[in-house]
Amino acid sequence: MRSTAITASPRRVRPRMSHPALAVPLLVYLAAFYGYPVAAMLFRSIAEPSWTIENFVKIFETPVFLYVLWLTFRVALVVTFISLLLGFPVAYLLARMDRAKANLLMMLVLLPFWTSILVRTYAWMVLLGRQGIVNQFLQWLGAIDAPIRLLNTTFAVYVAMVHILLPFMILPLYSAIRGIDGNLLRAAEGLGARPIAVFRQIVLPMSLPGISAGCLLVFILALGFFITPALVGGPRDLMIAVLIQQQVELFNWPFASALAALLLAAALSVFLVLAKRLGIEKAIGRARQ
Amino acid sequence: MRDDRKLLDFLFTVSQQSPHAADYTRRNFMRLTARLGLGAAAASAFSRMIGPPLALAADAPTLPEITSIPEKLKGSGTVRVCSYGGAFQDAQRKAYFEPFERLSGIKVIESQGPDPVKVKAMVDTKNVEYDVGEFDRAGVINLAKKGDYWEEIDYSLVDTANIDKAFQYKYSLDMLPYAQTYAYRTDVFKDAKPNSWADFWDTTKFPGPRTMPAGSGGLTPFLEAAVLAAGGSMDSIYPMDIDKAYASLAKIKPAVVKWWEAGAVPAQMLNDKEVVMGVAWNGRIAAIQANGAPVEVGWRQGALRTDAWAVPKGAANRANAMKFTAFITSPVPQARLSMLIPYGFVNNAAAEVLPADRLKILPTAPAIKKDMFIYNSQWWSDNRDKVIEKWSSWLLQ
Amino acid sequence: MRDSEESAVRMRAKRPRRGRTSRGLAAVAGLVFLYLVFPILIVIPLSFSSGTYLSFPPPGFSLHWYQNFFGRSDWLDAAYLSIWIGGAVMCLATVLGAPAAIALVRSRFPGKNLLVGFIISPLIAPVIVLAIGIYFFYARLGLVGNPFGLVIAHTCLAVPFVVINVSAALQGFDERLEHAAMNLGATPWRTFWQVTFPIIRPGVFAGALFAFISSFDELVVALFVSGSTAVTLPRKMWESIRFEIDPTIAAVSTILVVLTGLMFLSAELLRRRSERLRSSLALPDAPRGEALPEGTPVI
Repeated sequence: MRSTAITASPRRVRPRMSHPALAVPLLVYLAAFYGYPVAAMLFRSIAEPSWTIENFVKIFETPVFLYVLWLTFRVALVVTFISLLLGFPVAYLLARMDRAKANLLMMLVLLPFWTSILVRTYAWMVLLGRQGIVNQFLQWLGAIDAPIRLLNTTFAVYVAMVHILLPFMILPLYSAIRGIDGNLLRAAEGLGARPIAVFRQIVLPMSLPGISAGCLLVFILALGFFITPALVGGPRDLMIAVLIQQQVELFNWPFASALAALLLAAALSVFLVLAKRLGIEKAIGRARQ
Repeated sequence: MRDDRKLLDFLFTVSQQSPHAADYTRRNFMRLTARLGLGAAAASAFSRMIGPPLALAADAPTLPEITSIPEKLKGSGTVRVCSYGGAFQDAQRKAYFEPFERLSGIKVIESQGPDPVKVKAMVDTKNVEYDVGEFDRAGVINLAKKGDYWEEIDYSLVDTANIDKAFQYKYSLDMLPYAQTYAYRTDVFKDAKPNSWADFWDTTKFPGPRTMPAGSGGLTPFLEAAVLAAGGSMDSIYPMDIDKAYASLAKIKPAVVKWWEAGAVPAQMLNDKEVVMGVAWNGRIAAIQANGAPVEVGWRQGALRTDAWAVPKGAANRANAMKFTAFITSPVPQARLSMLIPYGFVNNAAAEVLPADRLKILPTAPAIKKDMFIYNSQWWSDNRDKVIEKWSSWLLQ
Repeated sequence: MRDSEESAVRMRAKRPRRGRTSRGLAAVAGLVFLYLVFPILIVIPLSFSSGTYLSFPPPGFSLHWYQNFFGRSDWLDAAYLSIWIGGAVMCLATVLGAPAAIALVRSRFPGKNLLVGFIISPLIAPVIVLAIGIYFFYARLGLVGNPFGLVIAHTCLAVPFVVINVSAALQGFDERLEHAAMNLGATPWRTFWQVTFPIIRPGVFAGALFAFISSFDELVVALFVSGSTAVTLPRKMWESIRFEIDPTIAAVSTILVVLTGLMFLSAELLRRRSERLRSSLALPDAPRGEALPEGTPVI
């Protein structure tokens, strides 16, 4: 519709309310205070103490650092997977509700979304403690006899990170599933397709772009997670961002830079691969028609 | 459809303020926020009805007052002080930060988590973030060996008449003797009580999760405890074999749920029964005991340590930092702290201001001191780097 | 548009039967909602706890932790500083971001995709990468511990929000309104302030608001560059969680949850206003190829 409006405009020379130069101040600003510092930092990883790839070699030669890399990827993968598993039913339910009801329920997703990560992490410290509500509830249920250790474990990292990242999964999933023509589903149901079949043959393939967008976001954000693992994780839950911070404090700046370069490269390559491979652009094309 | 719009659209869909996201909410959010707001308002109204809040801690002791300070300690501007946070820094604030501000005219800006490693980075990059920090002496000496990282203490400001020579060092002035030892839940260990590091290590006789200090964030792992747990005796702890000590520490590692970097952590974990036993600083335990936590300190085989004020090289408010250091090591401020939290004092004249029953419970009291060993700053200043270097790989093994 | 059609269709169509599957789905979704919201609500009662540390349920009622927040200068200073920095970031990000959005949406030039990607990238790149890059940079300039340093860094992170929101407002904008104004003799400057800006204003305001929130809530950069003299509220909260672990943080959290709600609400109101404006001002689509006659009054 929008395109009609534009093409329908009079075709004659007219002044436009815009000039590319309007973007120049922002670009200069970002180049100076964002592009340059990050580039200089990346440069540092290969240029200090002298021209060397030693910093990167050190990452891949030291078992401890390899462990941290592996752990970071594992946590990011698990968190993405759980988020998808939990997010899909919610997004599907919301997308198939009438809008008024969906709007109301979506607030339950948006409220945590807008709450500070620190607040949410703190909340999990309270909930997962040995005397915390989760333990009390499990004991009341009779599932456990004595409080079990939940806080300061990898489990706590998963629980808190999924909690923080779940809205990033639900929102794109919701808009993808909303985009599926309801008549298609009703037709399938009317023709006697079982819910599982409808799901597998219509819903899943058609929501694939939403799935990839959600997974992409959650995975990339999880890779660089810093605050939550440091606060609720166990002694061995050292993620790469925490390691980077430690190395900065230890004044191993070239090495910290190398780790940061690796993290950035991982995030960017995941972004590029997923964005291209999984047809996110197509999805937007379709949703917009 | 233009490509650039696609990217924008994509980011729209996914970024926080996606138009879809906003779309869902509409007026419903209003209702929710209204309810939240109402809840808070109701709660505050309720609180006004039931009167003033409950007293949280035991009644504050009467503190010896400080009414004046020497003219040479007065000044203006600010001094940025880095200490260890929590109940301890609360006590410090009351005992001497506030009187210092009032009497000297120098505003105290507080922060937490002093770390000699960070001091090195701050000085090397000329970004000194605080003017005076509380360090363990070994850390100060260790860094002094690496170069010009500390300002010399200005002893012309300090009244050293009653301060032991041993506490005075070129680059730092001791300010706080304290115990680093184990504490345990008395409601868990009712009959047999842990009485040594061997007991701390014994997870069959004393089962349950533990917490111990980390080797990061400015702290050092408690290798002495590991040596004692492996059968060493208090007079032959030093010199420690680092590998052997780590090997002994590894035996308790599975039971340690948290390696703490802040003194408030073991106190909180013991208070909330997150652990049943942990290494802690004695004053922190006293603070939770005052709130009724069933926790006891085990003094036997504990370490008697001292912290010192030190001023990083190039600190912007160096002169104020020196005045601050001199003020805090004077008798009354030292006594005020000992009243608020059971840590010792470095100025012997403080003893004259303190009541006898208070003196008895400080870690420096003869009856308590005799059970503990003296932490060896010299050994640590020589070996700190080696120990810390091993820490992360040991932890992740 | 599509959605209203869809719901109309749905209203006419028979509702799908509620089978076991959908009941199961609803149960799972219900649990997920509980998981999402419960932890945030739990902070509220804890903030009125009379206990120290994290004990739950609270042993008694007390406003001590609110007193601690409102009575301690370090907490209040941190809150004021965060508001101040957030405000400055909001202004700077809007002034830089809004014109750039106009330029990017309305003009075509080679490499534009790359530029858009660059401007948006602070949203995608891990914050710690930016944080240490800026920290190393500031360490050399001596900007660590300087509030202006935080304003500069936060603006980089906040600008994408402004660009995205303003772009969105512009995409629904009917450019013919501007042509009409200019055909009537208005200067571009006047056209902008009297036609364009009033219509995209809600988008600009929403972007500004998000810029404020993103700065107000930012911890990772603050952790590195706030030193001990530019301690923001999130930084103070982080220190409180690490070094004090008392329920003051719950009191602050409660205040923040309420404030976040209010901010979100105002952003939402702005957006709705924008939609109303846009629909009331939209011109009927002119038939293809038929130019509006010169001087046609447009009301």
